[in-house]
Parts: sequence; C-alpha cells; structure tokens
Amino acid sequence: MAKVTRRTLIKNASVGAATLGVMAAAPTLIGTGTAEAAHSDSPATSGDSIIAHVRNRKTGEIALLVGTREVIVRDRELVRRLVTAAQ
Amino acid sequence: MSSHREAPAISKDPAADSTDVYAFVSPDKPDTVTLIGNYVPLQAPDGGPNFYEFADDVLYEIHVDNTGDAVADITYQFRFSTHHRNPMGTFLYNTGPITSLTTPNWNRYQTYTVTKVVRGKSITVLAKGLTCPPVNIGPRSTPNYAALASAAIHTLPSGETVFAGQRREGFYVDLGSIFDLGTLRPFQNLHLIPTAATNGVDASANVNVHSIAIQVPITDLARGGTKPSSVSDANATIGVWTSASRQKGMMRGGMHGMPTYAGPWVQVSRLGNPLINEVLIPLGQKDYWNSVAPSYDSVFLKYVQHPELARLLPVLYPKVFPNLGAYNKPRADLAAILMTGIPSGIINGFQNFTGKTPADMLRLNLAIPPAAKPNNLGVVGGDLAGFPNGRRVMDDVTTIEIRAVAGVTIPLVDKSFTPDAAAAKVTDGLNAVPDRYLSAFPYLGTPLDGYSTPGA
Repeated sequence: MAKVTRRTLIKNASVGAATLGVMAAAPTLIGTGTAEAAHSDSPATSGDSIIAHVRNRKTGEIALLVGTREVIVRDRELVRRLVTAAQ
Repeated sequence: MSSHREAPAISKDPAADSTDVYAFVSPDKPDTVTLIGNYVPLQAPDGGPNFYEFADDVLYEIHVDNTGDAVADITYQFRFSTHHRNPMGTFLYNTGPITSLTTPNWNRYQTYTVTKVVRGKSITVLAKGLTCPPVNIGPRSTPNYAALASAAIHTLPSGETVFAGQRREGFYVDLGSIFDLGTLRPFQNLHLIPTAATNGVDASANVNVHSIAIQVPITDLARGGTKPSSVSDANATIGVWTSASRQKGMMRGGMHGMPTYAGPWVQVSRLGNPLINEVLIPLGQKDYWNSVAPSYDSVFLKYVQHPELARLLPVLYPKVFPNLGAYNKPRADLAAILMTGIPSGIINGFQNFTGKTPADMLRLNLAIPPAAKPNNLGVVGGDLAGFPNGRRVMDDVTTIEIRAVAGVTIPLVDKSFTPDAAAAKVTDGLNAVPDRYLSAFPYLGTPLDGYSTPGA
C-alpha cells in the first residue's frame, strides 16, 4: 500500500480541483474554434483528476482513484472533516 | 451473440458486451491462429445517425493461456480513440461518399492501439493509430465497402495481422424460439405446450456486430515457442478467452459533457466457450461470473456438472428424453468439454486437455490442421478442427451444445448411459449461410448496409 499523508492527499486534491477549473473553462474556447479542427472524443483519463471514495467512515479508509491505480489510505481525521463538510 | 446480453448488468452496456469468441488455425494460413472477439451485439444495420462503434473508455482484451493454469500468458489489449474531422460543422457521420479511410467526407472515425502483455509483466505497444473502417451505411455513403474494410486490415511489424470494425454477425440461433420456454422450433409439436412444427428462424440473420480480430503465428502462442507437431503434445493446446473492462471510477459532467475516469480496470464482461453464462449460470450469479477470471471458475463448476437445461428438457418434451431424465450423476462429459478440455483416450486422435483447473476457456489444439471439408458440428460431427477444439466462425455451436446437454456426449465418459434417440437429432433448426463468412482474414463477412437492410 502506498503511503499517502493527509498533507499530500489535500495537495493532490487541490491539483485535481485546479484541473477541473481549467476543464470547465475549456468548452468556450473549443466552441469558437474552426470547424475543421480535429477533435477526439476520448474521455479524460490518467493524470487529469483524482477520485476519492470514502469507503469506511469508522476506520477512515479512503480509496484514491488516480490514473489506472487505486491507492488506499487511512486517515480518520480527514474523513471526519470530509463528513462534516458533506453535511 | 452466444453471450449477447447474457447477464443483467452487461445487457445495459453493449459497448463492453463480449458476445462471441473464435479461435482456430487459419484455414488459408495454417502456420497462424486467428483469434476474434466480438462486441456490441444485435446491431440494426440502419442504426444511425450515431452508428455503432467501440468505446473509448473500455479496455478490450484477448487472452491466451499456454500453461494450463487458466491465467493469461499472453494478452492482446485494444484501446480505441474516437475522432471528429468536423465536430462543429455538421451533425452527420459522413458528408459525402466514404471512398477511403482518410477522406474528409468521413466525419467521425476511430483509431486504436494494440498492446501485447506477456505474463502480466512485459508490455509492448505493437501499433498505434490503426484505423477502423466505417460502418456500412449504404450504397451512397459506403459504395465499395469491401475495399474500405480491406484497407483497414493492418499487418504489424511484429508479425500479427489485425482488424477492428463492423462485421456481419456470424453466429446463428433461433433466439425467439429458445427463450420461449425452451422451444426448439423444428420440434415444437413435441413441446409441453405444443404448436405446429415449423422451420427454425435465424434471429441474427440481419444484424451486424463489432469484431476485434488478430492473426498470430502459432509460434508466438505455443508454449516453448515452437509449433506442436503432435496432437498428444502436452504443449499443443492453448486456452483462449476475451474480456472487457472499465475503470473503477467515473465522474459525470466533465468537459464537453464527457465523464472523467480514474482508477484500475475492472472486468465487466468475459467469454470463452459459447453459451456458458447465457444458459448454464443462474441469473443471480451471472454478473459475478462476468467479473471474475477463468481461474476462479471452480466456483461455477457445479452449474456445468448439473445443468438446469438437462433437467428441463425431459419436462418440456415429455417422453422424449426418458434416459436423460433418469440420469443423476454429475456431468463429467460437459465438465471435460467446457471446463478442462477433453483428455487423451476419449476421442480417437484428439485431446485438448489443459489440466485439472476448471476454467471457461476455448481450448484449441494447435497441432490439428484445418479441415479440408469442415463439418459445422465440429468434433461431434467427426471434424476435429471444429468446436470444441477452438471455434470456427461457422460452427453450429448451438446445436452442438444442445445435443451435448441432451446427453449425446455422456457415453464418452460413462459407457453405461444410452442417449435418448432424440439427443442426436435435436437442433435449433438452422444452418450456416455461406455469404456471412469470408475465406480469408477476418473471416466474418461484410456487414449488412443500412440502406438495403432497413428495419432489421
């Protein structure tokens, strides 16, 4: 199991949020592009974002989905804060 | 189609639905094996304007086990990318005749990457940017479809030949009859709820499918890297299956309305022998079956040894299968045919045994040459080059498996059993139609076009 601290988790999550911000701005640019521009339908994949799944509130287990990997971390304090934020 | 929409979850995900697997020594190139995995079932040829295609977010794989442990020794991975040449200027798939794979008239097209993985460690990208053919739309849009498809057959520097694209469905079955309480249309007058006997109806006669085909030198697949010279050679048999996987995480509402994916690949569909998950695995286990590897199939062995269909036939056809109805032993014949391969000494001159590990794989003995005059009933019909020795595109796997379940193969392992007279005659009433196949790679025929086949 990869060692991930709460600090690195939050840091990575921030990078993901920043990425999403760029992605949200992008459609306007593409919408004004030339009709002949090549375009791929390929969905965003590895490196673009991190999906965090709180698997167990009691044990503080979080699954981080990144690229084609799954990293399991346990951080009860972080889960407590996430649960509070989600309420 | 032998595994089309066969489980509740995958029936809602056709782009990842493994429908048929074929594995055979290539009849026109007997130093090679052809492996084909079909996906996206029951395609109406006129299904535009967003025609059928592979999914960019699915990992398609063809696996080969050459050590008998039901774990892949060689895997060919296929990943697709969809492109638009004119994404904002038209709603059309094509804006004029598609006469080449690079014409600007073709708006939406797909390319793919082929990767070879050896024993889960050695990963080699064999080719990138390979072009799929378009779907077959009609005489104005795709006026010379056979030429387009030929242009999409790619020979790789590493020696393989590949094709990925739409094909005509090669599997034939009377779906409407079989799933109406096990009716076999030529014999429906003998059914518990009888109707007048009529001919079988080919439910897949007018549909297309998407195929991933790869032709590989036998020496690339055989254990030890040499072509087996003897049928009894312990290295002669390979096991083949396909799978489709999706990434574990998905977030909707991303750029262009496209979802975002992350996480490891999770298997959502797999297929080896035809009709296993479709008619042997109970409803509550089908999704689970699709999620696990063949090496876990000991969990499902009981469903092969005690098939529900074998219990149903004597009930649905009263007085037709009395011997089958009285047979209560575990079906060692079906376990051998479908889960371990048939050992030496049971059928003269034949074996495709891969070991005691029960696993749903197509088992192909590489030392058996292609038949000069193939019999669609395969080994049951005396043709050792056909199913269940691998599977050819025209093999009548429905009839073969119905006869096997009905008891015709029990004497192979239990001489005390006498099959019912009907067991060797039962069929779903259909035969392979030659124009659905090609004599050369990729062997499955030109897809039907939507203009000429409306309302299929």
